[in-house]
Amino acid sequence: MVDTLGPSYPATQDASFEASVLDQVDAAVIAADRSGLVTRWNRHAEKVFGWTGEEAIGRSILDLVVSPSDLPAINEIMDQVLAGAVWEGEMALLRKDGSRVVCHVNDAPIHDGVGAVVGAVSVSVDVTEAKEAEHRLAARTSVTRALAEADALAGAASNLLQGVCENLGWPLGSLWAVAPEGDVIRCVDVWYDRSMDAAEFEAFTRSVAFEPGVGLPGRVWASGRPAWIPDVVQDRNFPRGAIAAIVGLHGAFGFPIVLGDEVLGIIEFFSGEVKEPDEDLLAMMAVIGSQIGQFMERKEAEEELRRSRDQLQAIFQSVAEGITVQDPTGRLIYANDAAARQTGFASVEEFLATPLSGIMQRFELTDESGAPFSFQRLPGRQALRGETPEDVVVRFRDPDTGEERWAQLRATPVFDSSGKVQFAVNIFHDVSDRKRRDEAQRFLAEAGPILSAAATDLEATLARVAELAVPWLADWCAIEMVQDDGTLRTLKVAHVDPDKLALAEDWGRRYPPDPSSPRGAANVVRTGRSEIYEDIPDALLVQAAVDQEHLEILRGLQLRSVITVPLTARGRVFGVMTLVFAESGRRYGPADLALAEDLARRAALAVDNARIYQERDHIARTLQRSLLPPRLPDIPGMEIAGRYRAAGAGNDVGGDFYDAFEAVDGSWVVVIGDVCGKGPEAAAVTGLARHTIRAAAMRERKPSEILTTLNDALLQQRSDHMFCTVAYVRVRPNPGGARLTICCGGHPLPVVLRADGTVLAAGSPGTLLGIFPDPELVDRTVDLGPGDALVLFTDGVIEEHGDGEMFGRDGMTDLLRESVGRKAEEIAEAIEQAVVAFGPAAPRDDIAIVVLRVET
Amino acid sequence: MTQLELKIESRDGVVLMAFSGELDLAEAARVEQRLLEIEAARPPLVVLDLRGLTFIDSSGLRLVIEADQRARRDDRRMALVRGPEQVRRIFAIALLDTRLQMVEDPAELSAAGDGAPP
Repeated sequence: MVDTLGPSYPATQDASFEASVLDQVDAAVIAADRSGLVTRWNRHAEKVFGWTGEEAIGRSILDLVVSPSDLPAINEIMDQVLAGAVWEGEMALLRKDGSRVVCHVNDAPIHDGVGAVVGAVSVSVDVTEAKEAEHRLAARTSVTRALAEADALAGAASNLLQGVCENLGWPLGSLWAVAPEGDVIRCVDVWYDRSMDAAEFEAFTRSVAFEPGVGLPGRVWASGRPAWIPDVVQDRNFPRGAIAAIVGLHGAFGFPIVLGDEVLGIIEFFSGEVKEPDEDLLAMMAVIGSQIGQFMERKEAEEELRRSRDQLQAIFQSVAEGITVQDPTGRLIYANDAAARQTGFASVEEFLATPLSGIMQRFELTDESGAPFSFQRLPGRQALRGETPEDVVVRFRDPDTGEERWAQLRATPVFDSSGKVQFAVNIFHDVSDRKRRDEAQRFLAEAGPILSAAATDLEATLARVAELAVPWLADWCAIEMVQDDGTLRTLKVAHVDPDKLALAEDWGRRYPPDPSSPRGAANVVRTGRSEIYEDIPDALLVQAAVDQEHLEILRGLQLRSVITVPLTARGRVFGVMTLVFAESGRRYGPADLALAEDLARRAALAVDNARIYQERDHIARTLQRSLLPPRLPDIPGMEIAGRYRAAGAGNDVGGDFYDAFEAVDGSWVVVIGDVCGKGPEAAAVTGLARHTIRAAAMRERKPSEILTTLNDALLQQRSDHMFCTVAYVRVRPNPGGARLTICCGGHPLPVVLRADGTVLAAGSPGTLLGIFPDPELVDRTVDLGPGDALVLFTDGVIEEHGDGEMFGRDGMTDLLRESVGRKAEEIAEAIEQAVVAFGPAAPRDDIAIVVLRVET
Repeated sequence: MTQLELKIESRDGVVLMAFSGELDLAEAARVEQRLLEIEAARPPLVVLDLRGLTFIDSSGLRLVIEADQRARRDDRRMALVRGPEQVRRIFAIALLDTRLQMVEDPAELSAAGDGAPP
């Protein structure tokens, strides 16, 4: 076919046929001779290139459709074809009107009858639109890719401009953004094809700022719409026109980067040619502009989110609270350093890599009361169900280290816009220190009453302290007392496990502590300083053991951590308290040592107070005894019994006294008295009264005279109204019993118990002594027969209160009636017991009782 | 042991101190302090109303006796309103009811000086 189109046939009769066939072909068919002169030009060639057959035939093809800049390339192709080769490819050709047309071209040589190349034929299909569509698609794709790969528009700009420039064949592009001050726009980036020398244009572009409406970008900014300038060099509103002319830029368009109504930036592209507006291109660019706008908005939102997340992260990392975030499946997706640290993980990464169940398995969880706490009850679980749980305080115990921590757990659900739980945020507030303080306070508060009871029995008190320490402060606690010879005696060992108690006691017996040991109880006694072994390595046991069996015992005790504190009073160590953590695996820390020392100080103080108290008590009793007769005399034919009981703890000298002695005339004197008040003053008056009575009884017989003497003595020697009351009884035994002369100075009247059970008061009331110079004192005589008794007492015995809770006068009467036939000693005992039996409130006052009875 | 309550009224030169509760060693010092304060104004008549007392011991007696002694020394008057049975008995045993001015009702007393002690 090609051969038949050769120039050797131009004049054949079939030429018109061939021409009509060629005209039907939907491609431009052009033939030329070796010199390039057109010999054939079909109708389609006319359509593609604008030249008619008549115009074209006979002219050089190079003149017709090749732009001067393409000549070298086209000549080369022509040479190849004339040499006998075929060529196929795309080339940009010129139309008659100077515009470009992109064609897919097949060039082939034309041979004559003997095979020589006489010309060439070119079949061209116009692919301009397809190519343009392809380029525009590529341009859009390049924009999308540039945006996808970038974190921010600034990073995307260069790639974006390059992609559009290369794909659309516009060699220079630039991006403008609204300046921070908001009233001008400035160029952010410029890209241009480096085959072009546009450095000066770029520099100027980057240096200017345009107000709304000025220049191409200003116009786009002001209108919010794309703009097209066919030739910037000719445009009157294009300040860069002069430089554009030098660089060779003509056609230009710009479009806004928009978000809603807001223009975020402007992009402009320049062509080296004058360009008429292309609405399709502008429409496409408008789409790209809003695509970039959305990108910027998203990036800005992401940036904002990232910034706030960074800030939150920074805050979270710096807080002491552990913070974790769980996704709806319960998986941990975030944790701060504190959360990892508090749960014993080396890093957040390690923590997050561990499943929640794995984290929880590392601890024994208990609630505040010590009951097991299922991790199903963790507030985070409830938060994931959309509930807002109460805070809980849980104790985490690491079974390996024995370390205990308390944490207050708070969880909050975070909902998404549809109301579904998106996260649960957990906050762990470590309250260990506070809990330890609380526990310590509670413990010391419990110890308080025990210690204040130390007055009664200090060793029992210390034993109670040891019991109190277990199990809270120790698995076992030992108290050892320093003996006079300096050795230690174990006072008490308290242990959580009674079996271990036996072991510990046995250990103490068999291996008494070596007083010269450089550590342990002996050392604490010597130095007065506490010891703490937070950890007890096996080596220490080996060192401490005296033999293999001892070592086995020591190992059997599972000693984990030990504190030994001195019990010190007035600078002297009188004992040591040893606290041991063993099977529970707990360990002591500095806070525990402080608590143990506090407890020891309180215990030691209480014990020391008890000692002082006991000493004082002892002195008081000794003094009191000196005010009473060492023993009552034997009165012929009579029984006599005395009782004295101090009120309360008995560390104040009371004012009660009694006495019995033989007078000069062979009669006997029995006297009972009560000095108001207590203490040394009362004791002095008591002494004065007793000795005055004894002295007066040597000279006088009448009881009233003797009491008058006492009254005078008190008035003379005391100016402080320290009065006393006295019941004085002169006893003259006779064959039938005894005759009694009784005088009372302000004292409760003695009671006579007849052998027949009659109870009656004896004597007559008299004025109390020591106040008035003229007391009324009356002597009364009473005869006692066999089995009759006289009971003298002080007011403490019959103390009566309005509430009738005391023994009282009626109680005394009833008791005495029941005491008929009893001996004096038994009656005195019965009265004392009855008074004491009235419970803790009695006796408030001292009580003294003397019973005198005629033998039967 | 009930805390002792004191109610003090002053009217027409008469100071009335009413006791309620138990007057014993533990309370005597406090009451004495109040009495001394009252006496510093030299009221012609101080009345100790014992009707609310449920208990009195020797310290309580001493307090009353001393107040009476001070009144005699300073030429003032002091009187007692008798207390309940267990309190009367204490005064009776010490034979104080003949030594101190004692009445059943404060209405029997006035600053004028009727019913003066013997």
